Amino acid sequence: MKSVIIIDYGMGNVRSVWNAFKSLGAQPKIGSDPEDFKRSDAIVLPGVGAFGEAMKNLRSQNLVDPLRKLVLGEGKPFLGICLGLQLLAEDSEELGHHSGLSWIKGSIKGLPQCKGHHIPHVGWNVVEQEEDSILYKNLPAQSSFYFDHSFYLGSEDEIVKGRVDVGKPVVASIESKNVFATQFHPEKSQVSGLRLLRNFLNYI
Amino acid sequence: MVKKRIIASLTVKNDWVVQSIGFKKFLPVGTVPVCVEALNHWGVDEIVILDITASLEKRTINEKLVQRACEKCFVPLTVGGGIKSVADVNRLLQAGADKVVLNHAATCDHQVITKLANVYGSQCIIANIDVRALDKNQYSCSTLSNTKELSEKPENLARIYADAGAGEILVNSIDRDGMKQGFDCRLIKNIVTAVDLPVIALGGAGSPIHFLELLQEVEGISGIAAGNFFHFFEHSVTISKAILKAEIGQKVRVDSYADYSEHKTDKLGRLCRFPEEVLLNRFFEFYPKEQI
Repeated sequence: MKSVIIIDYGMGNVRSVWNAFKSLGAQPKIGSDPEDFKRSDAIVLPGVGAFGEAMKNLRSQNLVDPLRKLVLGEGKPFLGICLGLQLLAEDSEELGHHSGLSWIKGSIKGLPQCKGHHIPHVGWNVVEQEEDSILYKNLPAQSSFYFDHSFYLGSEDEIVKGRVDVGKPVVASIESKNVFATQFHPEKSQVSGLRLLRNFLNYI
Repeated sequence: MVKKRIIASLTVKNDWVVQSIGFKKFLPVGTVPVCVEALNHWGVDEIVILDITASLEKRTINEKLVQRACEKCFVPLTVGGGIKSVADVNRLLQAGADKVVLNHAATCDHQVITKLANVYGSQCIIANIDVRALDKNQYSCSTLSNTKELSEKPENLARIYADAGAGEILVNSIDRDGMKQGFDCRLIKNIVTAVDLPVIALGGAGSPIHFLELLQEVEGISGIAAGNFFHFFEHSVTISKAILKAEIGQKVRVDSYADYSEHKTDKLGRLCRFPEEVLLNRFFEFYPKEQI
């Protein structure tokens, strides 16, 4: 059984992520102790809320360095969800200017105002998948996922493996070696989301 | 483009899901986790749980109940019933809810929406308006399970809530509740034109055709909710979506394993029987359950 640690740093709904991994037969645990991170097979960083607040919490709980060491140094599989994707960027313009974890290139920007598209971008939307993606393996091409965000990662890098149309295509997911992250909520995206999490578990 | 949502609304009384008829008669349906699990399997886009007596009894929806429901729910979960403070919302979000519905508290003080939206973001706050149709195309609003009349007209109330910072408006037609006569398209259209927010219609669904009617009449509608209709008809969500997909295509999400794409339906939205030779061939086919 694969063990997954879900980082609890006071940002949002960790319980649903726990439920999703549990239903797939994994061994999820909610916690914020770096010793637990070392023992588990993979690390999941969920998150709902503001960028600045989240970085402040990560720093005050002394999680930034252990995470970098385990994920970038030792190659432990990592999945960021929603805000967990945005935190990987260099910086964000959400409510001021905040620096991020800088694991990937790119900045977090506000979604563009487009006619016929509401901000925040909330609801089910189709993700355009790249063929060589690990997360979307065996998923139907027109699968929908549940989004809930006002900001997005500005990146045209080859690590972008999924895009969503919010008036213009923006980043829906990234994959870079052992680092995976999704802008949508797989734990709230029913069968498509569970299939994606299964692909992540299979990768571990 | 964001998909049109098909939403299941569970009316809860004494921690049981009930069938509600005109806000007067209530028949038990089952426990909340069982209903949530079935609806989730049938591919519903969102689930709303409304405790209809919480405000009357001066309490909040049971968070233990929300927690149990959440274990089987892999779609966004919205809860409502007696919510009025940041502490209430915090407790329910911790239990696993994604959004909350405000009704009575918002009618007493519109500022409570602003207060909650500032802490949790607008996308987390849904304002609920109970509307009753009067004669001559007139409407009035009420609250507390239709026991307290309000002075505002539905469109005005929706505008007030939108200005206060609500993220979505849930319109409930009381007089259509449990009547299976279809949605009140005129009312919904008025509200959709009045506010620049996603609007969810509830009350009156009796057949998949009613969903289609509303989607065609009111193009700006964001979500369509039903309660009773989904409880008493096996695979109701899946079949409704199959019919919608055949008519309006990609605007609805169909990701469930069974998609009823080969089935024909009659004009009332019921599945037609397959011809005898198709059934005979089917007899020897094996459809395994999908393991994710």
